Amino acid sequence: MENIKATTEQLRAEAAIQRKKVSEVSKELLEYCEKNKGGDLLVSGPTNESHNPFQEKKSCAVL
Amino acid sequence: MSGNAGESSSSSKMVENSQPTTTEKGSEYLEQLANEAEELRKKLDQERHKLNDIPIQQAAERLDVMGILGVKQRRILKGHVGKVLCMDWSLDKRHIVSSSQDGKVIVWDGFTTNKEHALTMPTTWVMACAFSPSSQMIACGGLDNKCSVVPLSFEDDIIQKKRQVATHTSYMSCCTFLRSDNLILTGSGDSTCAIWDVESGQLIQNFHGHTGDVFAIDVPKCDTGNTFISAGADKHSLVWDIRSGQCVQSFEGHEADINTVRFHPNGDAFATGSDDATCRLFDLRADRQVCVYEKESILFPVNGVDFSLSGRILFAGYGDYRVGVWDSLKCVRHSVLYGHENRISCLRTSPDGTAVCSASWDCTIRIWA
Repeated sequence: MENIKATTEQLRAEAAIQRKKVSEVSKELLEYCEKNKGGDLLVSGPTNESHNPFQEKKSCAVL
Repeated sequence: MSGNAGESSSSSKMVENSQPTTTEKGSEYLEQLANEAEELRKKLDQERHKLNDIPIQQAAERLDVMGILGVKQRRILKGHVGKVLCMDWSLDKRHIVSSSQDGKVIVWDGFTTNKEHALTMPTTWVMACAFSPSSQMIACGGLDNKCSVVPLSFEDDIIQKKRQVATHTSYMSCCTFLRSDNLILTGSGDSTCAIWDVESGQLIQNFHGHTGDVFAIDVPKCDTGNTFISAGADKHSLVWDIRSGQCVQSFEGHEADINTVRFHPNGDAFATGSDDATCRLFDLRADRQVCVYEKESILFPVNGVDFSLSGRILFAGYGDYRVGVWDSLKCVRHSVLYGHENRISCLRTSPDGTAVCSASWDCTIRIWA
C-alpha cells in the first residue's frame, strides 16, 4: 500500500517535469565542448601558457 | 505539458479526498492508484519519446573529427598486491588514493610515483576510497559496511587516527566528500545512499528508491549544491534532491547493472557504464537517454567512465583490460589505450583534465596523458 502510494507520487512528480528536446540539449552540449576545447589538454594538447606535468620526461636533466 | 501537470495534481487531490474507511474501499483506492501509476508511466514514455527528435551525432556532423591525441601511458603506480578496486584524485591534481581487495589503501604522488602513505584496513575488499576537498583526509570502506576517515599527516601510524563515520546494513560500494571535509555521501549494497556528518558520524539524510545494490554515485563539479546521481543493479540512474531526500528524476536504458556514473562537466548531463557493454549519455533537461556508446566488437562490462575537461572525450575502462576513448558528440570510438593486464575497475580524469587515471585487477594504477 505504502509502496504503490510512493510510486504514484514519484510518477506524478516526474510527469510534471519540464523537458527540452534532444536537439536542443545536443546543441548546448556541442557549444559547451567547443567553448572549453582550448583548455582541454587531452583534446587540444598543451598550449604555450600551459604544460602538462604528466607529459614531462623524467630524464630531461640530461639536456 | 503544464496541462498534464495540472491534470495529475487534480486527480491526486481527488484520490486523497476519497480516503478509504473499509477494506473494500482500501482495495478500490489501491486499484485507483495502480491505474493512475500505469497511466502516468505511459504518459512519461510518450513525452520522452516525443522529445527524441534529432540524434546528437547528427547535430555533431558539422564538428571536425578529433585528430591524433597523443595520449599514452605516462606513469605506472606499483605497490598493491591485490586487485585495485577504486581510486580518487586529490584536488591538488597530483596525489591519488587507491584501495585494494587485500585491504590496503595507498596514497601516491602521481608525479613521482612515490607512495606517501600505506594503510592496512582491518577487512579486505576496500571497495571505495575518496580524497577530501582539502586533501587532508581520506575516506574508505567496503565489505566492512562502513565508511572510515583517516586524517593524513606525516606522523607515525596515522591508522591510529582512523574514525568510523558511516555504517550501512550491507557493503559500501562508493563514497565521495560533499563540497567540504565535513560531509560524506555513501552508496551501498543495501540499495540506499546516505549523507553523513564526518565530525559526529551522524546520518544527515538517507535516500531510498533503488530496488537493487547501489554501485556508483556522483556529484556535479559546477556545484549548485542540491543534487547528486546514483546508479546500480536495478539498471536505473536516479537524480536526488539532497535537502529533501527525494528522487526527482529516474533514467532507464541499460540492460544490465550500471557500474559507474559521472557528470558531464556542464553539470546537466551524465554518462554511465554498464555490464551490458555500453556507455550511455543521459541529459537531465531532456529527461532521457541521449546517446549509446557501443560497438559490436565490445562485449565486456564498463567499470569506469569519465569525461575530458571540455566533455568532448568520454573515457571508458572495460573488463577487457582496455580504455576506450569515445568522441562523446559524434558517438564513435576514437581510439583505444592498451596497457592493463587485467580488468579495469575504476577510471577518473584529474581535476584539471591533464590526465586520466585507471585502476585495475592487475594490481596497478596507470596514468594516461
